[in-house]
Amino acid sequence: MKRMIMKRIKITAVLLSLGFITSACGGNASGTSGTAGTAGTAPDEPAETGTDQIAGEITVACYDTMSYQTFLEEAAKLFEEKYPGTKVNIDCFSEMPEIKTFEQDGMYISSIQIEDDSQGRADYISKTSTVLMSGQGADLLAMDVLPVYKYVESGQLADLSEYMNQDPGFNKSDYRENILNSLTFQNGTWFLPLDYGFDYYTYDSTLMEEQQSSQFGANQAFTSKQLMELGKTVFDGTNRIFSTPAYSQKGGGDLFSLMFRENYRHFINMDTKTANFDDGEFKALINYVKELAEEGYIPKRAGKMMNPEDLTTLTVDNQTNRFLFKAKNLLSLIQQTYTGPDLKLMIATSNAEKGIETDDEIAGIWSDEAGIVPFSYEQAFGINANSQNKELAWEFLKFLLSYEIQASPGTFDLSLPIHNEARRDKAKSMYRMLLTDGGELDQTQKESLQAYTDAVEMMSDRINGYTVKDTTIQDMVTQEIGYFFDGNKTADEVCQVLQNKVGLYLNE
Amino acid sequence: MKKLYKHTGLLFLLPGLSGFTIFYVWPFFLSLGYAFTDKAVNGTFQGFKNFIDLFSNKAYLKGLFNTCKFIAVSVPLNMGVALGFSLMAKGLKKHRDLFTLVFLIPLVIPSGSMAFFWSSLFSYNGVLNGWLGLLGLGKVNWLDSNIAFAVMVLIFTWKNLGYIMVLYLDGLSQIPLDYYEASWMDGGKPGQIFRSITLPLLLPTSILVLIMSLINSFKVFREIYMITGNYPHDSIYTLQHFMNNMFASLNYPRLTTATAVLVTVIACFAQLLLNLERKASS
Repeated sequence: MKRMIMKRIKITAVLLSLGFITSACGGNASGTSGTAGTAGTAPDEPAETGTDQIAGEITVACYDTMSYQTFLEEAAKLFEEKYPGTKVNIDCFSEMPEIKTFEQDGMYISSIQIEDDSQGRADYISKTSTVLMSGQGADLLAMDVLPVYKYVESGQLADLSEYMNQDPGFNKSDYRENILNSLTFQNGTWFLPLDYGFDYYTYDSTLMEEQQSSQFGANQAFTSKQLMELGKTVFDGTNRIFSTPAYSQKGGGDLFSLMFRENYRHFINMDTKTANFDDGEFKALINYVKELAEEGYIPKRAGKMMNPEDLTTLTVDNQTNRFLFKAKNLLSLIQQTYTGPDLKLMIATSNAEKGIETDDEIAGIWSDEAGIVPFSYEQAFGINANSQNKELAWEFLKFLLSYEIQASPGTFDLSLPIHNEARRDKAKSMYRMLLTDGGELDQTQKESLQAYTDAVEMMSDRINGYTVKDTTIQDMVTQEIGYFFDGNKTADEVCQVLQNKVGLYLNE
Repeated sequence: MKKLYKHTGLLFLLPGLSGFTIFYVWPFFLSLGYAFTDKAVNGTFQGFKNFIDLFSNKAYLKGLFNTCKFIAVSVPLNMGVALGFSLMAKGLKKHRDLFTLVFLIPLVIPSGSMAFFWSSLFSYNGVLNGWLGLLGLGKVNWLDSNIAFAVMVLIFTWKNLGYIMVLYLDGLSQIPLDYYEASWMDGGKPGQIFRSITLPLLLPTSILVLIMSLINSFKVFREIYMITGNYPHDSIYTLQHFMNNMFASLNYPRLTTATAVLVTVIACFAQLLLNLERKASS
């Protein structure tokens, strides 16, 4: 899902690590042996009654080859070994992006360039839809780019709540129940995420007085507008309120996108099939964001794209700007809870000028205007309602959700496993890999790990919803809003066009 | 031998008819079943509910209205302009073929190239707005305002003008010159001659042109779709947009219902025009 948001633009993500590539292998290997003891008591053993009957062949289809293929192939292999007589075919659509690795000043740098391929996505959706409408298609469908809402409406997906409730081998309490419960829409649960993530805010503790900072914490939730208004009260013209730019062409990672998501339910009502872009709220929102940039509260737009080589210079040390607040994702949470000098993982994105981060503290998790704290996911699957092998597809999905897979090394490195025990053990092995190359943690590191898991669980507890977004609407909004921020269209024109287009789309 | 001769026509017709039946007629009737079910896969029969729902669907009604409006404006306009140019071409003593050929060029330009050209011309940051900027005028939202309808009519006319001209030129060439000579000798004025001789004798051709223009008016969707995508401005959202989007959103029952209605209306209309043409010819 994150990948869906990071679209329409080339994104260069660079993982900088001193010997990260080599140590990752060694670290993970020892991490595996460390968790093997608990793996033996894996909580997700399949139902005894069903084990003997698990046989047959299924196909799993996905668009995003980079995220899914290796993971699914390895999982399929393990599944086939565990259940002889089964065969799991993996069918990935997109081209694998090129991964470049080079050495610079003793550092191994991996660079992955992801080209947005909207035509490829459209082709995949078209192909999948056509096959599904003929009553065929893959048994298990990755919900990476497929239009979930449309598929549910046309009865293409099986209701997984029935499987969850009726299968004695599936225990909801082993997972983040608040996330599973938040997936219900159209009277059913149509897909299950294997992992989850969330956005949160930090504040610069040197710019906030104690009285103001007392309202922040990992157990709090804020909208970006709340923080913006709070920031205005302490803004002195020196440091900007947010590091997030007003607008970004890629349609994500900017303040407009954040605020649009916060009000998504107001602008688009999927139940009543109505669009509300012309009632003044949307116009007020885009004008508000534009004014914030013009008055210097936030940067106007995202920084220019940088070459992977240039990114090596983008380190904590050479940042000079301070911001009152920053919007961050899970990747930053490790740095948030452990600021020691030996942390070897640094993540930089080409357009993320975050400024000085050493004094950042957690302000709270991101929430929308309706009080919904949503989550995102890297991988999620639904079962084809017309599959002839729904039971086997469910068994494989259950296997993907099991401790065995969820805690395995190399999985969900950029997100959190939805399995509770796997999530805790993965955090531990990740800390060991990053801080000790797989060795034991010292007391400080253990405290840091505890702080990390506490923050993760506290913020995860706040999650209470999931907004089923529509990529067609998202594309319409991104295109029109670009005209507005480029000065090519007025707010009224944009509102009118969006009202017409989205209204038409919803009314079809 | 006589028997074989009797069936020769049928034999010649067979290859074309087979293709038409296999690729058009058979799939149409095969998919027609969806129009009476609630969903495409494992659907249940629900009578005419889809047809009733279709006529209360706002998007369909908008597409239907725009399509009718487009046909009402573009088809007579296209016919009138084509007839005018045909008369001009007929009157030319030199370079008549070259004149006609110029209007046929749009027919051989691939749709993709044509869409690129129109898009470059009419997009918000396109050539036309660039020229307006040079003149100190503000930009016009050609494709995302009510002006888009005029753009669609222009594209249709530009694309089909040459084809209709050729049909009219053929029709004009079949009018015996004797009629015109007799009229001139009787002191007929050009306007009178056009009203009393040219127009009545062009009626069979005009009916054929009307049928062809009607059919071609549905084909303008391809260019409009390439330029403005699935969800264009309200004024140029046609029935083809609706049906194309129904396919994309997997709503096959609604798609086939809309198709069935459209095919029935076009078939009835074409039959009516053909009857008229037969009467006019006789």
